Amino acid sequence: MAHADALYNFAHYLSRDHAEAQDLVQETYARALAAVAQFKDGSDLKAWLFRILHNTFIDLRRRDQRQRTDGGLDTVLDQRAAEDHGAEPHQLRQLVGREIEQAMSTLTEDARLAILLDLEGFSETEMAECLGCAVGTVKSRLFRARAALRARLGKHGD
Amino acid sequence: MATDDRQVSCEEVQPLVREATRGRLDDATRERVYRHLASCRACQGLAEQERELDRLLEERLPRYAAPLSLKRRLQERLPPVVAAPPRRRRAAVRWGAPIVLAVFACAVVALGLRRPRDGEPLVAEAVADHLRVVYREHPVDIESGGPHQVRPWFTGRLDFALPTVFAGNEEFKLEGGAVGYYLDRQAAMLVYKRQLHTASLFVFRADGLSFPKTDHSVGHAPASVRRVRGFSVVVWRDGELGYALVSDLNTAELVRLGADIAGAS
Repeated sequence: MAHADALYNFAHYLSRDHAEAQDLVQETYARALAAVAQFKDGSDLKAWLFRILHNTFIDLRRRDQRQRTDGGLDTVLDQRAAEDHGAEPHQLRQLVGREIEQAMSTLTEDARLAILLDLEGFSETEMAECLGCAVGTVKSRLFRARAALRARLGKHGD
Repeated sequence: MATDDRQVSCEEVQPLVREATRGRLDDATRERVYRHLASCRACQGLAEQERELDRLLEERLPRYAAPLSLKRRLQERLPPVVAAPPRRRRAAVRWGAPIVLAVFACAVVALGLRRPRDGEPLVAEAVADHLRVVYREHPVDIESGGPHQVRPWFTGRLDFALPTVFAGNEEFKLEGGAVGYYLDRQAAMLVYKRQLHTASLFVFRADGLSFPKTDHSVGHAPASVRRVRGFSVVVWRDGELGYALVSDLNTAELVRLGADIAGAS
């Protein structure tokens, strides 16, 4: 099934909730079908679906009026991460999947998004389109996100 | 080039380390980064951490596959908003899952191989949106305590002013409302019930939309009535707003509800 698994994985890490992730994917496909006229010839279908899912997530969040993870903590940790580079390679090698996932869950939404989209293999241009920001913003956001993740993983590896 | 020979600092290099290893930099910048790395232990350490983080994420970060039940729901419930032309359907089915077929059909339409009739996308969208309402466990965000409760709830949530809401009657009960999207724009979605039947009303800005040819009327407004995949659809325009009413009720019943709605606004 076209991109359903990748979309669900993305939705799961965004929402951190199985039921909400399923709703997101379902709504994404429904919106994609409804918005077919906006799909540009030659553009990447997967990137388009991810963008719709992200927009759907934002819409649902606004509707639910939920609070996003506060970005202040990241700012502090980013700074520290930039100074000490976070976890050492030997620490990283000892980590298991659950610890990585746990560390991911403590990142801001923007940071998680950047890491997940990068992991899916999207180009910086595609990521920028999905996130609705400039390519330069994607670069710096991804760099900070990875630094923050390394800092958190460093805590697990201690 | 002279710029290639200049010294670069760690602060400049570090954001570029991973991009250099992934081939995302131009030759001159990549060369500068590598030259710096060759003589900087701190940045070498960062490069190694970046590589290890990539490996960790790719190999150990759990990936969640879509549950089979979700895939089945996608197959069963997503309406084929646009159907591929019959001669292409056979080829598309060989692709496998119906979702691929649906998305493929999207691409076919996007490529301009099939153009729906003017105004008919409004009808197709109405059915698709109605199905989402029906399948959703909690379709309304505001439960009805009467139109005086529902209508104010939309204030500030829409980019247009919602007219007076039909309060329902003995036959049709107003269940509530929610904000959604209709094609490319915001919409007020209102749900009415008659026994076990659900009727969804979508109210949206009409500007720039091509409405289907009218063949009925609801109240004072000329309307289009269609029957699509077992659903009755009534679409009409009143001033700057468009209305789409969908249900599995028969068309006469739905036109009656449409007349009540048009009369209230």
